Amino acid sequence: MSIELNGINKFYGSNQALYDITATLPTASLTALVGPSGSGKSTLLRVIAGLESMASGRVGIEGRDVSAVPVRDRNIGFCFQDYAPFRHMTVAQNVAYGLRVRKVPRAQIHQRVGEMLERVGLAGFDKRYPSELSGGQRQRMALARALIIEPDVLLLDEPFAALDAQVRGDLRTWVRSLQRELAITTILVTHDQSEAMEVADQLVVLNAGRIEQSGSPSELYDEPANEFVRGFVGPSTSFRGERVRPHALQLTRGGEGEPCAVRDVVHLGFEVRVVVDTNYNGSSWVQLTHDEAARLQVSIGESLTLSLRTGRESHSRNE
Amino acid sequence: MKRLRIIAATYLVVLVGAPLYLVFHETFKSGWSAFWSALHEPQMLASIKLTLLIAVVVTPLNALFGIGASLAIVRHPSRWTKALDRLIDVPLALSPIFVGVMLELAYSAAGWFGSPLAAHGLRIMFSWPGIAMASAAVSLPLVSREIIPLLRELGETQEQTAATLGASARRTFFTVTLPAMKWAVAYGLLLTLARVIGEYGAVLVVSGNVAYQTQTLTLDIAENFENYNPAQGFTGAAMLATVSILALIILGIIKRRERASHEH
Repeated sequence: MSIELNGINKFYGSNQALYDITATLPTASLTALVGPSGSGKSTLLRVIAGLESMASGRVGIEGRDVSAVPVRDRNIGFCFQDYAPFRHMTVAQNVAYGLRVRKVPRAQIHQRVGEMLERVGLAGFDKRYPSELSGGQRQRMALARALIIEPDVLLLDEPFAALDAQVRGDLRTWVRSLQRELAITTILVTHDQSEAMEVADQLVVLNAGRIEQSGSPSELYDEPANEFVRGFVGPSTSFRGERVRPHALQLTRGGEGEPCAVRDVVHLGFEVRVVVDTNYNGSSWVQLTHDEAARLQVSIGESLTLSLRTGRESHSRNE
Repeated sequence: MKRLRIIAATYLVVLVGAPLYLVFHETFKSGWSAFWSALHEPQMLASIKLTLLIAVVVTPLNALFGIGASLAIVRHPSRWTKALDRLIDVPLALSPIFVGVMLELAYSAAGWFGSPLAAHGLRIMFSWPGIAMASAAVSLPLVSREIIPLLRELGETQEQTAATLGASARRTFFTVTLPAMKWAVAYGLLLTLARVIGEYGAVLVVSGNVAYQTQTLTLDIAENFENYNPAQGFTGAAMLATVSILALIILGIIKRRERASHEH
C-alpha cells in the first residue's frame, strides 16, 4: 500500500517540529527517514502511525485518508526502538495479542502464531518470557507481533539502534529480505545514513523538521540537493574550493592538477584514506582502493598531484 | 564497620526490639486464655469491628483514587495534574491531628459542607463516614507513590504498541498497564491498610471517641491505658503489632515478587 504525506505541520507547544512535509512512498517500498537527532524523523513516523496529532496536513494509505482515523483502526505495524515487549506475557502471548484483540478463533490464533514464530526464527521460544530472549530475538518477536495482524504498512523506529554491531548487520539483512518477501510498504527511522543506504529503496533526509531531499540512495549520494545532504549521506572533502566525494579525487605522480604533500595514510581494509595538504585551500583527503594505493606506493611526506578522476566528476559510489 | 553495626543494633533494640518484646510478654504473661478473653471483651470487639469496616471501605477507594491519579499525572500531564502531583503528598506532611481538625471544621454539623449535609440528615462527624474520611485523607498518597515511579519507568511504548495492535484504551489498561503494575498496587494497598488500621490522631478528632459507636482499636487501646486497665490495652496493642508485622512480612514477599517480575 502506498503512503502519501501531504503538507504535514506539527507543533509541540510553540515549537514547530515538522514543516509542510510532503512525500509519496510507493507500494512495497522500503523508505528510510534519516536525519540527525531532533530532525523530526521519529515525530513524522509517529504522526503517520497516529500516535501524534498534527496541526495540518494529510496522511493517506493507498488513497484512503487516515488523518482522522485513530491509531487502533489504522491497521499499521509499529515497532519501537525498545521493542516494547509485554513483559508479563510469553513470546506466544505477545505475538498473539493483535489476533486476540481481533477475536480470531483460538485454534486459528495458535496456528498463525506458530507459523509466524517459525518465519521469524523463534520456533520453540513460544513459552519463554521476553526477559529470557537476547536483544535480537526480542526485536524479532516485536516484528512478529506487528506483522501477524497483516498490517497495511510497517513502521520501524530505530529498529537496530539497541543492538551490537554483529547482530545489527545480520538483522538488517534479514529485515530487508523479509520486507521484500512480504512486499509490505515499510518506513524505517534511523540516524545512521550507512544503515539507510544499505537497506532502503528510498531515503527521505530530514533536518530541523524539513525534508531536505528524497530519492534513491544513489541519487542522494551522487546528486545531493545541498551541502547538508552531501555531508549527511556520505563523506565529502574539498577540491579547489568545491565539495566533492573523496572517491572522485585521484593522486598521481606528476601530470595535471594541484600539487600536494601527503600528510597521513590510513589503512581501512579494502580502502586507503590519504590526507594531503594543498596550496589552494589547506587539507583534503582521497579514498583510494587498496590496489591503487599499492601501485602508487604512497608514503607520508612525499609530493604528489591531486586531481579529479576523469569522466566521473563527483559521480562515484563504490564504498 | 563492626562497631557501627553494634551501635545500630543497640539503637534498634533500645527503641523497638525490647519494648516490642515487652508488649507481647505483658500480653501473654497470664496465658493464652487470659489473652483470649481480653480479646472477646465487648468494647474491644466493637472497636475491632469498626476498624475493619473503615479499612474495608477506605482501602479500595484509595486504590481507585491512587491508580486514577497516577495515570493522570504520568500519562496525561497538564497544569492540573502537576498541581495534583504536588497536593497529593500534603497529607503525609501534615500532622494527622491537623487533618482531623481540618475535616471537622468543614464537615461538622455547623461546617461549610457539613451543615447542608446535616439538613438532609447526613451526619459525617462523630460517625463512621467521618472516621473513614480522616483515614482516607492520611493515607491518600500511599498507592500513587508506589505506582507513579513504576509508570514512569515502564514508559508508554507497551501501551502504544497495544493501541497499534487494535486494543481499546480499556483493554490496554486491563491487559497491559494493570498487569505491569500489579505488585506496586498490592504494595500500596497494604501500606494503606496498615496506615488506616493504625491511625490515631486524625481519627481522635473526628470520631468523638464514643465507646461501642465511634471508637476504633487505637482509640480503645489509649482509653484502656488512661483508665488504668493496662492488661486490656496490651492485648489491643499486641493485636496492632501483629497486623503490622504480618504486613511487613507480606510487603517483603511482594517486593521479591516485584523484582522477579522485573526480571521477566
